[in-house]
Amino acid sequence: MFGAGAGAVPEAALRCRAIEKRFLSNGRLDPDRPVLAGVDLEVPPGSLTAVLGPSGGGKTTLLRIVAGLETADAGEVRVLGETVTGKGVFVPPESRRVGLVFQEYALFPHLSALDNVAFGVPGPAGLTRAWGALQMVGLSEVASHRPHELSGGEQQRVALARALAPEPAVVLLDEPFSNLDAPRRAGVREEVAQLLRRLDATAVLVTHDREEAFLLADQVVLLLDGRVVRSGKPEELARNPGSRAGAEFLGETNFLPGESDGKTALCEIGRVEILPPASGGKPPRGPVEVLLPLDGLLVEPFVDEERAGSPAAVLTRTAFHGAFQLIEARLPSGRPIAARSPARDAWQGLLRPGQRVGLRPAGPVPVFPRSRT
Amino acid sequence: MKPIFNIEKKPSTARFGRLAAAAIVLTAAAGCTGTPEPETLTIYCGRGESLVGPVVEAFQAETGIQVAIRYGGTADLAAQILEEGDESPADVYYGQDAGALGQLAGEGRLSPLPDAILDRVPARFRDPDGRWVGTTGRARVFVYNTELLTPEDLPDTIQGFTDPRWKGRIGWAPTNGSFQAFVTAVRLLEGEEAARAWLEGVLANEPVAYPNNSAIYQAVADGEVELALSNHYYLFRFLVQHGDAFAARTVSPRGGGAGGLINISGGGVVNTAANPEAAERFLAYLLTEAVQERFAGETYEYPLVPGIATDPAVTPLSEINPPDLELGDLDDLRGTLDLLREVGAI
Amino acid sequence: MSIPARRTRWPSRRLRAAGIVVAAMCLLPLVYLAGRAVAGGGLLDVLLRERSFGIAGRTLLLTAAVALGSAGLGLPLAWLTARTDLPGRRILTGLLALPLAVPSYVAAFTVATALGPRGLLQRALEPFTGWERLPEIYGFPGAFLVLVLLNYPYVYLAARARFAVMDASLEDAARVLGAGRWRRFRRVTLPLLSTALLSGGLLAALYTLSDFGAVSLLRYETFTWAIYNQVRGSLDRHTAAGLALLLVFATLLVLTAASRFESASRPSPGAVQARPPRLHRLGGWKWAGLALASGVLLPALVLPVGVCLYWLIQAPAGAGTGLFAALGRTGFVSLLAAVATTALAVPVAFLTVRFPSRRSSALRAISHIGFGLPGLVVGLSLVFFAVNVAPFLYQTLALLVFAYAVHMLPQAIAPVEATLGPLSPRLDDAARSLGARWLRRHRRITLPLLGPGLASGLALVFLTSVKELPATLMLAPTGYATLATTVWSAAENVELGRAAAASLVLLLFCAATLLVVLRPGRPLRPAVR
Repeated sequence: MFGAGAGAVPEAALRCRAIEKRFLSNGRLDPDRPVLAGVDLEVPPGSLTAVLGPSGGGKTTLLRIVAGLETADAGEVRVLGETVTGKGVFVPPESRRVGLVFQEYALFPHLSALDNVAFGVPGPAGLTRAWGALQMVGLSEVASHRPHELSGGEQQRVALARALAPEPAVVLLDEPFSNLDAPRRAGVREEVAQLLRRLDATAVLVTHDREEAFLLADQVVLLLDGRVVRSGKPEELARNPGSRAGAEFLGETNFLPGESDGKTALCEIGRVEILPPASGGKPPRGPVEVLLPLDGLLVEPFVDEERAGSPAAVLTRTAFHGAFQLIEARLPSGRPIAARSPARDAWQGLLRPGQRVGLRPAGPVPVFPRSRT
Repeated sequence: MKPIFNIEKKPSTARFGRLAAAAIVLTAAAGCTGTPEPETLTIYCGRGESLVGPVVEAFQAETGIQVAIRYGGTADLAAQILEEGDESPADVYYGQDAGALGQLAGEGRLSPLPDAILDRVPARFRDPDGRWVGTTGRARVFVYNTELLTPEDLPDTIQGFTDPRWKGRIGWAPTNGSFQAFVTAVRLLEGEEAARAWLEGVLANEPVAYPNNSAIYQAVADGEVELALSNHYYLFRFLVQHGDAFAARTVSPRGGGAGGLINISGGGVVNTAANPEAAERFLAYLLTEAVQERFAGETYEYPLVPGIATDPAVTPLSEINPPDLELGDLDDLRGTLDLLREVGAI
Repeated sequence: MSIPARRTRWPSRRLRAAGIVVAAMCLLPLVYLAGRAVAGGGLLDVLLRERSFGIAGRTLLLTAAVALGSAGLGLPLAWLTARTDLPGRRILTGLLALPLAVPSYVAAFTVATALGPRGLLQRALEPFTGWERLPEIYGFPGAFLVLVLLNYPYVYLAARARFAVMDASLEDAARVLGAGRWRRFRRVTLPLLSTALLSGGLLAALYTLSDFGAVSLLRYETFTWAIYNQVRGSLDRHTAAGLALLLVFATLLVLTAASRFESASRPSPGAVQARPPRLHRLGGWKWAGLALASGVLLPALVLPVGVCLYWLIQAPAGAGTGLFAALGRTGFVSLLAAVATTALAVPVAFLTVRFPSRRSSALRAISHIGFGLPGLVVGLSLVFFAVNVAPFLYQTLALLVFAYAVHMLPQAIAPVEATLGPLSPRLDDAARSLGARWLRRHRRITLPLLGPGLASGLALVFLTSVKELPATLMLAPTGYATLATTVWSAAENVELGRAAAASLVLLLFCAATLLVVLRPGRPLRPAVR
């Protein structure tokens, strides 16, 4: 069971290695457009990992491969150290200890909430456990209701209870909150996250919502075009998305062209310090793209125009967003730039369009090689 | 102002709407034109269209009388006339079973016919009270396979069918109307108990049951069974199609009795007929020499008007020894059906 | 989302009026039968006869067996064509619905010819096996076999339609929850199909109650055969009416049984397709699948067609006479019947689905009575009514279409109900809030969404109208020969070639109709959401 040298290191609850998947297009394998191209994923026990990416990025396919509902063209899936897909092994979904919460919940319409939850735990003892699971999600009062008699949030919780009742090694959640309306979503996802933590469950959440991933997950995996472009703690990702594409997907950043000398880069707002690449190795040299996150820019409201090295931008618009203020400005080159600063800064009410402001990064920033076009 | 969205019409909806409208209009239109005009002669005909159709056309051409003819089952049409009551559009009822004619007459739904019509046929082929008249005769026969049997092997009467030597070698069509009329005749002639005993005796010989008379002839010719009970005229239809090589022939039972029953096709004038004169003219027309000859030649049935030659291939009426029976009394088909069911024949 | 919002509301006056009209139409045969049976003492007569109980027992036994058998055959065939990679399933999809168009007398005759104790099969086997007789097919086995072969398409079509909209993720969910193949089928797929199985099984049951051809040719005495015997044997319409009333009673029993099951497995709105299903790979099992499909099509379709071709070749002379005109008439009157019947089915379906109440379930029961009655009884009752109440309608196309509608209404109600079930009534509210009036709302919203249900309703009624015989013979305008009456009269007159040609034209015609309805890649799927 335990490989040599695994000794002290706890085995990941779920480990995917080099998963490949191509779909048929027009009845033929399309080699140019893999759905998944060598995806690695490691989920430590008791943690919540979010797989974040745009629609059509292969997230759901990855989940279905882990659950055994799809086969992988190559690669390996291990659950609690046991290979369930790959190396010539294929354990059918019903024999994997993997729970799945479907995007549309897939509750059995002909069964009551309780019977839905009890489906995965047959037998009289199962009913007790199902009841416990329903209580856990706070739905014991609607146990006899059919799915169509439940609200969206209740259906969501029933689906979660159903997936958790058989005590899977890992529970997969496929866009579990996308069917809820915005006001309810925040509350429900908070509840779900707390529940998963309370149970010490290992969970993989698939989402296209950056905020959701950052808020809930211990670890975020950014999946773009079938490749993992970056994975790490939410704050690490926020600081360094790992690639230009990743940064574009996460949004809320400015890109400025610059020239790198390997330690610093010169761009329109002056010389900035470079953050070492997430993948390790040396920062690029030469023409680069400097990434300036909205939250990582400090705004100096009243700058001395003649101060060297920090050309001022002209403020074009301010927008008050409650906890923070969005500041939009135009650089001398005409390039727009935006920043976000906490609302508590006393000077905010004094800003007027047309006035000059200074902008500088709060710390080292990531740069990516710039292709010359 | 221009429309903001140019929404295409769903063709299926429009089509459904148009269809529905068309259906209503057409149905209503049909409702106004369907009733035949009063001078039209309406015939309820329980005989085949290909046989009667040309005769009716000739009748129209000769007399100028417009005819509307409704084909159907002999019994179904009789039931329909009963259900229609006084409003029945039928002028003539023309069927191929004396029993149905007897029943309609018994319910008072047929008017007495003039002697000029009745006298055309011998008394035994018409109603004693003159309410219906036979037009052609159809004889019950034994059908046998000519390669496996000779006429000498055959039984003299239907009683022979109960002989164990025929076990597994005989066929019949117990659901067929002609067979059932024949069983009715057995009951009338021999009594209920004898009829039951005969049926049980035949059943002990494990007869093969066929759905109709053509199937019987085909089976006999194929040697599937060697001997069977059927009507005489089917043979000639097969001979026309298959030639003389067709390996089945018929005999009329030498010993006579119910096995030589001659049933009729015939007609009567419905008592509520709007057009009784034309109705009588039609019945009279069926008994003209030309039509009788036509029936004899085309259907190989027996013409009932004396002096008309039977087809030379058919055993002449004079050589058949039919039972002494009032054909109109064959109307207790229900009793026959009960009996057939009780013994397990159907 | 739950949608009981409408349940407490009243149907509109227009809808109620339509319901009353349909109920009145469908009650006509019942009024006639009651009158005949009570006035003529037929009911008492029948009830006092010991044999009636045997007939009742046999009728119910055959009905239940055919309903179950049709479900048992229709379900796997629907699964094979809708959910697997069965080779040739495009063409099989259409072919497997076609036995619906085979008249039962034709099927029964050919099955008896082929499988009878000394039929074609025995003769083919005898040289090898030496068997001189095969086991008796007459009685229950034959009637059961033929009726299942002709009626399984009701279940097959309904189940296919359900498969088409079934959310595949439900089965995935069951797998992930550890359910094996059998448990998934028993606990998830089967319950989801139950409404389809029930509505299809109900139609098969009612058809069995009303069938004459199969039970008479294969000799199994049911109510319908007894009724025909009374009418044909002794023109006794009173006893026949008494028997028919018992048949109505049997119909109500069957309906009650069906609604018991139904309320336990009511489909819930919104359970529709989220993820298109993947086709199961049959692998080596494809041969078993093909064997099943051909084992059904051989006796139900190939055999009748083969026998017809044989006869046609034997006697081709004059076989085509008048067929073209008969085809035109058949198509015309069947189309009218299909449109009229489906139009009548829509208000019934609305009332039963949207406003479930005691009254609407009574309407549903009433509208099903006509289908359980033999065509002969429907025909005779309309003869009586037309002659006494509306003589100007007697023996017009209008009356014939009316008879078809009374006789075939449930076949259109079932698919319309099935499509209406998952539709949100809020769509209508939305259209109303956008200012659409009644006609526009229905023309633009309801009808297009009901499209698939309407289409299959139209097709079912059309197919059964094409082969209907006894009522057509009685009620069609005089001289209005259709394909079915041509088959009958030619067979009656031993013009086997002509009967065969007319049967073949009839079958081809129905096949063409089915192909239009079951256009490849367009399953009978309700458009929802």
